[in-house]
Formats: sequence, structure tokens, C-alpha cells
Amino acid sequence: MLFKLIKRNIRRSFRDYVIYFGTLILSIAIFYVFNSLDSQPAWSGDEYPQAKIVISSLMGGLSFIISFIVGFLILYANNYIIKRRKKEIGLYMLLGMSQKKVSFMLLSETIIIGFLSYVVGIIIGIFVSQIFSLITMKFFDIAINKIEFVLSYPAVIKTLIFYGITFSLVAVFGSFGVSRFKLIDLLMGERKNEEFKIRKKAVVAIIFVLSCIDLFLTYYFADYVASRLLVSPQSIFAIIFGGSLGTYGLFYSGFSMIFGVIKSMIKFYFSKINAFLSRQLLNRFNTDMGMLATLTVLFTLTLSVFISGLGLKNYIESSVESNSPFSFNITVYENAEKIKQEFDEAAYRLGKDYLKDSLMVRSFRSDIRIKSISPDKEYFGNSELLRNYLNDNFYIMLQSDFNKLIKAKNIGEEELTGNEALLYVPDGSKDFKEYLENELSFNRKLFLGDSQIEIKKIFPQHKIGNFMVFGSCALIIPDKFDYITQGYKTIWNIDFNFKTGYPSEIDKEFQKISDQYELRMNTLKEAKANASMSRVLVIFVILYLGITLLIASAAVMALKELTGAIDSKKNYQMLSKLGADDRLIKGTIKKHMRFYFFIPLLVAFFHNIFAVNFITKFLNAFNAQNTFLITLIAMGVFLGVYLIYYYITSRMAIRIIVKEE
Amino acid sequence: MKNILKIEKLEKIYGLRGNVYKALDGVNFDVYEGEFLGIMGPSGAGKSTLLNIISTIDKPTSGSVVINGQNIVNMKKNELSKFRRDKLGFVFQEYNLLDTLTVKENIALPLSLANVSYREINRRVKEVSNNLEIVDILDKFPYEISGGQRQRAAAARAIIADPALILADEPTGALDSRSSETLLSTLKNINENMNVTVLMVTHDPFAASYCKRILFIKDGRIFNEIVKGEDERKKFFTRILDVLAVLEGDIGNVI
Ligand SMILES: Nc1ncnc2c1ncn2[C@@H]1O[C@H](COP(=O)(O)OP(=O)(O)O)[C@@H](O)[C@H]1O
Ligand SMILES: [Mg+2]
Repeated sequence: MLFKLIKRNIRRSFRDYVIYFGTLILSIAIFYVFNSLDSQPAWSGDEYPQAKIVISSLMGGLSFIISFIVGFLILYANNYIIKRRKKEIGLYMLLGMSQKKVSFMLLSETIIIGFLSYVVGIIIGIFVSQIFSLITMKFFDIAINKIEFVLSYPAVIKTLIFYGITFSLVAVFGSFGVSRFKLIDLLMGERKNEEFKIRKKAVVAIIFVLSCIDLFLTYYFADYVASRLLVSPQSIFAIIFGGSLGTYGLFYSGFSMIFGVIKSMIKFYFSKINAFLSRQLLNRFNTDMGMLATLTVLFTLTLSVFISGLGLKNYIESSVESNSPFSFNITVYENAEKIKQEFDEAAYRLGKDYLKDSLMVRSFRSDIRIKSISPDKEYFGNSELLRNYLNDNFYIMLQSDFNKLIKAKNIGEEELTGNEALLYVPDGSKDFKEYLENELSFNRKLFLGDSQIEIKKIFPQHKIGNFMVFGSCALIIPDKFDYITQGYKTIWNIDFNFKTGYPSEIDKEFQKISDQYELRMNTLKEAKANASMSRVLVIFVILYLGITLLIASAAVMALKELTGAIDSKKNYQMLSKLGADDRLIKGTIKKHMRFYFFIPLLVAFFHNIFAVNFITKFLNAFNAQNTFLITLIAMGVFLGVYLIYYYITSRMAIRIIVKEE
Repeated sequence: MKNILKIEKLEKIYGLRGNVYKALDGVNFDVYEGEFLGIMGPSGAGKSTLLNIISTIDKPTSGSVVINGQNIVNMKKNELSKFRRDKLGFVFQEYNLLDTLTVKENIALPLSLANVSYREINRRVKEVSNNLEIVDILDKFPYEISGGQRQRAAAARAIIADPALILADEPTGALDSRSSETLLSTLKNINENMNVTVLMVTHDPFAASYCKRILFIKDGRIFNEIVKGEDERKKFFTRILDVLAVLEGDIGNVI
């Protein structure tokens, strides 16, 4: 008998709680997909030795955070379900079912529902992870020889454990809840003329003005920080704090302000259902403001992280090629000739046919400060970064060596006449380059010891890439100034460039040689692998956290609205008796839903106009890019998911209010 | 006198095939302008069914219901909403007022729904609230006022659109005796002083004694009818009890 009841309840529940189950199943699927990432065939070769460990520990850590989010969601949804079933539970108890039995029934339902969601979620997860795996392999240019079926048992188990614990905790809370129920409250579930807080006009107005000022200042501060590169954990915290404070204030006061305006349009207010709709909304917004403001802040953060993550991904992508123009780049400080000879021998022995160029150049670390470009001027700006640059020393390279380098990069040689020199500027900071350009417009002459040179032009790093030669600015001087470098520390740079697809023995042999000496060797392969890896990790983390956060918040929103629908059902029924036709009522429900759902999103999007500005400036400083397209995609995905939730919720609410007797 | 409600051969059958149940079995009666009609009967007699049909929220199986000259039986859903809005007023047992709206907004609701101009709304609200002595509480919320005031506000809302007929299903069912009395005198007041026609369903003889005429129904048929005439309310009350005693004798149980 009890079993039959449970069975029937569950079958009915599935229809009733689409939002909850949908979200639960989705989150389980996502949980599985990301926790099974480490067993993808993409990392099964030896190209990415660290991948498995890095991914699995990263995803494991994230999963803790995720299970908190999901736990909160389940707890929240359970409250909603109990509320929806108050009368039914009361009826069971009235008919003589003991509290224990009711608790048992609810507990069994929770467990069975959890288990069913788990099974469905895992199945979907396994399916999605196949697609994910193909995409990852394509990403890493790994040939897809055969379609490999990926099933990660550890992830299946891990999902079971994480969700099992979360569910048990919630189930315990849930069934404790039942024993608190009083029969009378259950049966008389509907409230009567509930009290609600009415806010004092003066307080509302003051808070509204204050939060507008706060938001304005925060936006301004964010812009200031980003433009001047003062970004630090503290400043980001200050921005988030200021933004949240303003958002809470706005949600506390904004609706009362808007309501005041609507109410003063008296003809509009007293026509049709407007008074009812605006009061209903005001009331809901005022009681839910904490949650709505929190969600707004969350949306803003999630969107920002989405956008900056995608921008960062672009950065990593673009920086690899230009940073590593050679297959091997070796930096040595001593015994350069001997070492070069060993590498040369190995290269000729194993890959003569593949070798495109090899070269060796010298650079020197001088004792001349970069700030001596403008000798009688101190830098008083507030960028720490710029100050550090200016206090560093120049590197020096002779023209002939420099021409070797740029020739390998297929850039024409640089001609220098008389005492002309080039100023090489690293890409780290845009501001720095601008600063130097400005200084050069006043003075191009510079003393190196007794000799005077004249800087002909700036040679930016991105034109030739990072040869691992210079840690900061460098002066490229004519060979005749050779004597200047006397006494400076010499840095030898040995480069080998092979055609793509060169034999992998070369890698091994070069590695062996480099192990014997004190030198630093960078390989293009490694750089590429690292970049791909970080790119993928950034995307994984963002997708995992972002999507879970997004669906959890959208689900909370939806459940809140459905709870509201249950509460206001009586009101709508009365409207119907008073002669409001179905179309008007449905229209009102939809309008209510639209405002409730989209105002937080709208505010979040508005915040994001400024957040995007912040992110763009910040990324630009590191030569990474935020494109308009990225912003658009992030917002689009967000809006899409949100719209689905909105649509389902809206239909469910109409069903609860209009269709059910 | 003007006929407000005319019911002829009204039948309502619940259930399909096999388990059919005749809740109303050929009911005929008329209500004229200015009447205060009570409908009494034991539980399950079909009172609510009858009232729901008159309220246009349920449909009869056969028969006709003519309100103010319009037969409502064949109207479409949207027409019915409009009809309810313009011709009927309701006094509910509970949830009399929407708790998010002020008293004034609550009272104005039927006129707002009918797209009446704000000037007219304002004029009517003033007029009605004057009559029911609720002018002082117009800007208050339902939770800020007393039960009696709430009932009067609800009555004000029921009559504001000048309905042909006011319907009340067990309006005192959930009220204590004091609140019942206020509500009943309010209904009596609007009936006598504003010439509003009222139809009230009740099983409470005390409530029924406020009516001018009472129909008794049992098993879906009209069983008896009594008119107050020139009687005092107390006298009418005893007459009601007498009829109920007959009913009791019949079924052994008065609800
Ligand atoms: N929706 C329905 N379906 C089936 N039977 C109903 C329905 N509504 C009422 N009834 C039956 O019709 C009869 C009359 O009900 P009702 O009009 O509510 O009685 P009253 O209000 O006089 O107590 C009762 O026997 C009741 O069981
Ligand atoms: Mg009844």
C-alpha cells in the first residue's frame, strides 16, 4: 500500500517538478562529464604527461564547491516540494498515517528520485562525454583513428559518492522537517491576509540615492583601476564589494521607487489589472530581494568569468607561435662553443634533411638603467609595473646578431647608420611602450659609457616574437660599438629550427645533451602543449563552474516563482471570479514572470557593460583580447539557458494557477 | 417588479455512465429586484451546485438560467467572464480581500477590470465607502483592519459595479458570531437601503433569518418555501427552525 503510494507520488512528481529533476539530472551529467575528463583518450599518449593528474585534481577540487551549490539547490527544491504537498501530507496524517510513516514515505521518495536522476544523469553524462572527448582531441590536433568509447568508472563512483552524501544530508533535513509539521498548518496551508513590510518612503529614497552613488563610484573606480593597471586582489575585492552593496541597495529600494512612479500615474494604475500586478510584483520583489540581489551578483560574476576566461584563452592561443619561433631555443652562460658543437653534431646526425636554420647569437646585460632615457626626470605615476620596468637595466645586442634573428623570422634586415640604434620593447605593458614613445619624442640621445647613440625607432616584441634573449628592453647597436659590451655579462642564445614532423629522436638526444650542462632549453613542442593545456583547463574550469552556477541559479529562480504561483493561486482565482477572463489572467502571470525573471538578468547585464570594459582593459594590457564576439557569445549562452527555464516555469505556473482545480 | 433571475427545469448530473448522480433534479424559481433570498438545505442537497451554476462558474446539464434577461447557459467562456464582471457581485467565505492591495484598490478592482475611467472609479468608491462607513480605512491593507471592516470592504467590492445580483455561498461559515452578525447586517443594509438583490446559500438558521424569503432544497429538489413578510426576525427564526425540524424528521439529521 505504502509502496504503491510512493510509486504513484513519484510518477506524478516527475511531471510536477520538471524544473527540479531537469536541473538535477543536468547537474549530475555535468558532474560526471567533468570528473571523467582525466580519462579521455586525448591524454593517453605521452605528450601530455601531467594532464591526467592536473585535470583530475583540479576537477576534484572544483567538485567540492559544486556539491555545495547543488546541495543548496536540492535543499531549496525540497522545501518547495513540501510546500506544494502540504495538503496532501496533511491528508495522509489525518487519515491516520503516523509521522514515522510519512517521514519514511518522503525519505523513500527522495532516495528513489535521487537514484533515478543519478542513473539518467550518468547516461546523459556518458553520452555527452563522448562528444566532449572528440572535441578535445580535435582541439589538440590528435588524429582520431578510431572512435574510442570512454567510460570512466572512477567518475561514475565519484558522482555516486558526492551526490549520495549531498542527498543523504538533504533527506535527513527533509524528514526532520516533517516531524515539525502540525496537522492544522498542513491542512490550512493557505495563508490569510498575510502581513508584509511596507518600507518608509524617506528610507527608500535615501537608500536608492546612496546605492546609485555607490554603483557610480564603483564603476568609476573599476575603470580607474583597469586603465592604470592597479589590478590586485584587493582592488578586485573592493569592486565586487562595492558592486554587491549597490546591488543590494538597488534591490531594496528600486522597486519601491518604480512602484511609486507607477502608482502616481493614477489612470494607468487603476485600469485593468495593473494595480494588482504591480502590487504583486512589489510584494514579491520586497520579500525576495535578498535572493534576487544575490543572484544578480552571481550572474554578473559568472558572466565576467566567462568573458575573461574566453579572452584569456585567446591570449594563450596567440602568444605561443610568436613566443617560440624556433623548434629549440637554448640559453647558456658558459662554454657556449662547446655546447653548440654537441648540439650541431646531434642535429646533423639525426635530422640533416629537416634542419632549416641554426644560429648562435650573443646578448649582454648592461648596467644602464632604462630610466636614463629621460635622465632628469623621475617617474611619479602610480603604476607599480611601469616603475619596475624603468628601474631595470638595458640588454644590448649587436646589429649583426639581431639581423640573424630577424632573418630567421623572415623579416628584412635593419640598417643602422652612424650612431643609430634600435630600442627593443617587450610586450608586457602597453602603457610602458606609450610612456617610452612619449619620452623619445623629447629626447632620442643616450650615453653608453662615453659613446653617444641615437635611438632610431622602437622595435616592438610582437614583430619578432620572444627569443628568450631579453628579459626587458634592449638596445640594438651597430657592430662598431662592440667595445661597449666589454665587461658585461654575456648570454648565448643557440637556436635550431626544424621542419614540422622532424624525427622524435632529436627531441630525446637534445634533452640528453641539455641534461649534461647548465643551460635552459625551450622547445616549441612543449610550449605548444603547455599552451593547449592551459587553454583547455581554463575552458574546462569556466564551463564547469559557470554552467553549474547558471542552471542552479536559474532553477532557484524558477522554484521561487513556482512557490509564488502556489501562494498567489487564490488571488488569481478570485480575480477570475470577479470577471477577469483567462486571457487576462494568463497574460498577467506571464508579465509577472517576465519581470521577476528578467530584472535580475537585466541588472546583471548592465553591470557587465562596466565589467566588460574592465576586463577588456585589463586583458589588453597583457596583449590578450576580449572581442565583442566573445561577450556576445557569453551573454547569448546565458540568455539561452535562462530563457528555457523561464519558458518552462511560465508554463508550469499557468498550469498551477489556471488549470489545476 | 423586475425579474432578476429566472431558473427553469434546472438539472445537474455528475459523473459519466454507471455512477451518475443527480445533484439538481428539476429546479424552478424566480428572484425579483430587491429580494434577499436564502437557500437552505442539508449537506449534499445541491446548494453549492446551484450557486455555482448561477455564478456561471459551472454549467448545468439541462434547463435554463436567465439573469437580467440574458440566458447564461449558452454563453462562451469569455462572455461569461465579462458577464460576471458586469452583472454579478460575490461575497466569499474567506479570502475576501487580496492582501497585497489596499482597501481602496480592492474595492476598485471590478471597475478597473471593466476599464471604467478613474474619475468614475473614484466617485463610486467614495459613494460606496460612505454608505458602508469605511472611508477612513481606504488606504489601509487588509491585515491592518478588523474582521468586520474587512467584511464591509468585501461587500463594498461586491456592489461597486452595480451588479444585478449578489451571490454569497455560506458567507458566515468561517466567521465567529460577532463577525457573522456584522456581515449579515451589512448584506441587509445594502439590500434594504441600496436596493441590491441578494442570493445567499447557508445552512445556518441564524444567518437565514436575515433573508426576506427562503427556499429549502433537498436531494436536488425544492422542498419548501417560506416568506418573512411582516414578521419580526426572531419569529422568522423560529419558523425556519420548524421547517428544519420537518426536514430533520425526514432525514434524521439537520446540517
Ligand atoms: N464535482 C462533483 N462531482 C461529482 N459529484 C459532485 C460534485 N460536486 C458535488 N457533487 C455531489 O453533488 C451533491 C451536491 O453537492 P453540493 O451542491 O456541494 O451540496 P451542498 O452545497 O448542498 O452541501 C453532493 O452529493 C456531492 O457529492
Ligand atoms: Mg456547499
